[in-house]
Amino acid sequence: MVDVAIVGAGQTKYGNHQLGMKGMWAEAAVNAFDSVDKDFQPNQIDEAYIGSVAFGGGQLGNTAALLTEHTGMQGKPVRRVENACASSGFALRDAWMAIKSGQADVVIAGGIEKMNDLTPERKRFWLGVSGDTEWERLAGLTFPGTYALMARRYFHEFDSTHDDLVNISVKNHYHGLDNEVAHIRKDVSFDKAKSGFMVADPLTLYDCCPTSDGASCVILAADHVVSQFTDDPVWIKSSAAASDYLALHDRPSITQLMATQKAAKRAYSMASISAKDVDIAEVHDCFTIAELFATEDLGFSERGTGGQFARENRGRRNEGTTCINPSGGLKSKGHPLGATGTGQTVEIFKQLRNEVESTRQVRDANIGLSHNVGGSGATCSIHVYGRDRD
Amino acid sequence: MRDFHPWHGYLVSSEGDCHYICSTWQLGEQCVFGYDSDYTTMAVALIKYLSAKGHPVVLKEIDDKISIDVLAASTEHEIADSGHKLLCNSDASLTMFLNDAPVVALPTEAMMAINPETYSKINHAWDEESNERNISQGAYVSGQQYSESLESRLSLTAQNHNVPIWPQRQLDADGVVIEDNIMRLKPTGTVTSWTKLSAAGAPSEFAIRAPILGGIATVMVQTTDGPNGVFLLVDDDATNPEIGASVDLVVRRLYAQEGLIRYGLKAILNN
Repeated sequence: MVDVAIVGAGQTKYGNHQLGMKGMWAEAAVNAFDSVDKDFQPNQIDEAYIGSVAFGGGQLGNTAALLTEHTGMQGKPVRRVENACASSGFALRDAWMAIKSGQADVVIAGGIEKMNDLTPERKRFWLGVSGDTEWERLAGLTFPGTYALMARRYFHEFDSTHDDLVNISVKNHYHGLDNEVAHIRKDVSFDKAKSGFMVADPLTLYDCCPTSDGASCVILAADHVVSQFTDDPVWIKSSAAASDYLALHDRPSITQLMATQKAAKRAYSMASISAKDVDIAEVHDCFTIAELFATEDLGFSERGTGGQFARENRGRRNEGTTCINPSGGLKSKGHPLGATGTGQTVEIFKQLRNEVESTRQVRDANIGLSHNVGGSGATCSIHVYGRDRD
Repeated sequence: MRDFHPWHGYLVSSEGDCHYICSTWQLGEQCVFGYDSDYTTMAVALIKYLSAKGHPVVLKEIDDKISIDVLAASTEHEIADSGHKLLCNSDASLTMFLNDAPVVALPTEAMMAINPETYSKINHAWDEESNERNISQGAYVSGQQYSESLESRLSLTAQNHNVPIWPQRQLDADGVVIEDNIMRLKPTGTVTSWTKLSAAGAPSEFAIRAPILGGIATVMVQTTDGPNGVFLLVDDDATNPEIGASVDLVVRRLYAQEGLIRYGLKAILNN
């Protein structure tokens, strides 16, 4: 079966963006086009998959057609992919499958979200739309609340305290400090992160990712056309995904994400690797407790020891075996919902090609992983990337 | 002097054919509603009290300040040509009686003084929230969707499918159709996790009242019969819950939108 490589990747800066949807998408797409080592024209694209929650409801329908017509892809088969915060992780998977199936050779996967042009009142209505609205929202829960319930239960079941989450926050802000596309670039001390404003007890402001504007775009190519675009591709060694009950109260356990565990097992098997082979991982830390879960569910630490993993700074750049969230993660880099998944891929692509800022380059990274979660864990996509095709 | 019993956050007195329920809150000499209570929630509590004591409830007249739909979805009672009248009093109390409405003295020694400022703000907030022009700008539970799950939401109707299934669903995890073998879960359980959301972290439906209340608290509860659920704590209890604490699930106002007050179960801690 055909192998799939990434030949280009680009994104906007995340944050309070001055551009609207069309402008942001154009910027991300042009950055991706320009990152291709050899000549590349958008009319070479066969298909496009664009992840977006359509936050605010401004362009819920035909989002992809609108965006692509402004970036040289008019007339191409395009569609919006929606799986909450995992929208573009699934867009990437769909693009990968399109090439794997033999129906396309060059495919765009991307994502976009415009979140900060809404009034605070309207924004509140759109936060938490991806939970089980009928039951969770009417119990006062948006995602800070659901992840707070998970965190408190985890502290009850295992040897861990909020200090472990503080360590994760400090690490991710340290990683994001020199990232030019990160939303929040500031060094945060342990004491500052520990004393943050309480959002949803026990989670403070420093446990929560920001709401960001942004767009991201990656270009995938089939093995037989890769050399037209680059001699230095990053190969997608596996793509896997899974789902789980949407509502927390329907799950047998709220201290682990079964969708992550199922997808990880498939992703490692398909790539013929194990967790210890992963050099860098962009994991979905919408809240710090989500990163703690990810380190366990992805196999970087044993179940119940994610707190210890954080306490010992084992995910810190060039200090542990696997660098967790070299970009700064959602916590520092930002979280423009639909753009986050392929934004993670942009980071892995650049890290594996030694193209990020020199101060934050992870040494000797050959295997990367991205982990994109929808909502409180109802959907999850995982991709494994490598410098080598085999 | 009648005997009063604490029940679902209220005070109940039952003697012969006359039953009475009132709020635990006072503003001056006046008995007033707690922050998420009204005549409907108290009517539900009174009927549940009588049912728990083994008294079937037959009603021939229900005050129009009480939501018939919520009462029907929450309790087991009959409507007949002869039976009790369930009438709202001028304060935060209700009386259920056969013939003549009795005069009942408030159990003032068992009541608590409500904060006048908070009380006033909450009532204004409910007025604002209940306005028909207070509409959703995003996430939305429609009136139809709310009504569809009302009985399951208010009286914990579940499906008996070897194990109780709640909230109800059409197929199980193996794709087998679940028959409507309806059972009602006991409205009791144990806290398995909890959080208190700041006003900024609360959903928009609670945006008007959450700042007045200093945030809202949500608990995850394993019900006595097994299924888990998430519930708000009653608004007039500022106690922090603990994992392992036992709770009763009682009917209260959740929020209002598009002129419709949405009711649901909330947790009340058993101290």
